[in-house]
Amino acid sequence: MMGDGMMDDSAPITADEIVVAYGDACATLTPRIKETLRNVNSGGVVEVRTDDPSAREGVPAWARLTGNPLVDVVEDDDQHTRFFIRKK
Amino acid sequence: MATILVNCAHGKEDPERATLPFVVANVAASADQEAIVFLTVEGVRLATKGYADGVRKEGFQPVQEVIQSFVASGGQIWACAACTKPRGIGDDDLIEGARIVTAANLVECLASGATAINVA
Repeated sequence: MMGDGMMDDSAPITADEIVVAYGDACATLTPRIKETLRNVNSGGVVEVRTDDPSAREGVPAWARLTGNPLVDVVEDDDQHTRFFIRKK
Repeated sequence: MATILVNCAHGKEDPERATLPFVVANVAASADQEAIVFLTVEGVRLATKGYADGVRKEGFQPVQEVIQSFVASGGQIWACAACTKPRGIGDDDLIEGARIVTAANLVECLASGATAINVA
């Protein structure tokens, strides 16, 4: 699935950090993403794994607000999603 | 960057209403927006050391953890001076990231374009 503001990149994406955020919802997910991005250099990629379906709305909005491009989204099933965010 | 000001008027007597404004403001701070929680009435006690310990609504993060995350993300906590004074709360009582402000500070913030919301 490609959301608003995403960049199409056919090359495989390698994550510099992985956030396993199972159980996190909107209240805690984006603060965790922001915290993890602090550990990554500009241009680095954070992979966020979530089981919260509402993250499919929330994470792209967060990416648009912060200007950190969402470079890929993989929907593994109805609930599980992996977001790949590149640090601006 | 927008400035988003969220009012919180509740403390231990209503943990959900004490928590939710910080949840919303924390998401705003995490999204690189200027985020302020404006505490009034019993909510001003949340700005004091130790008060938030143990305050938790089932299904939510403990409010103390949300406050810590909020402050770490650059969020500001403003405690209404008109509400802190009758409760005997002074600057020395405040947690990191909190300060006592007057109605004039609030009005200045809003007049400068801040968006105020009430979520609980």
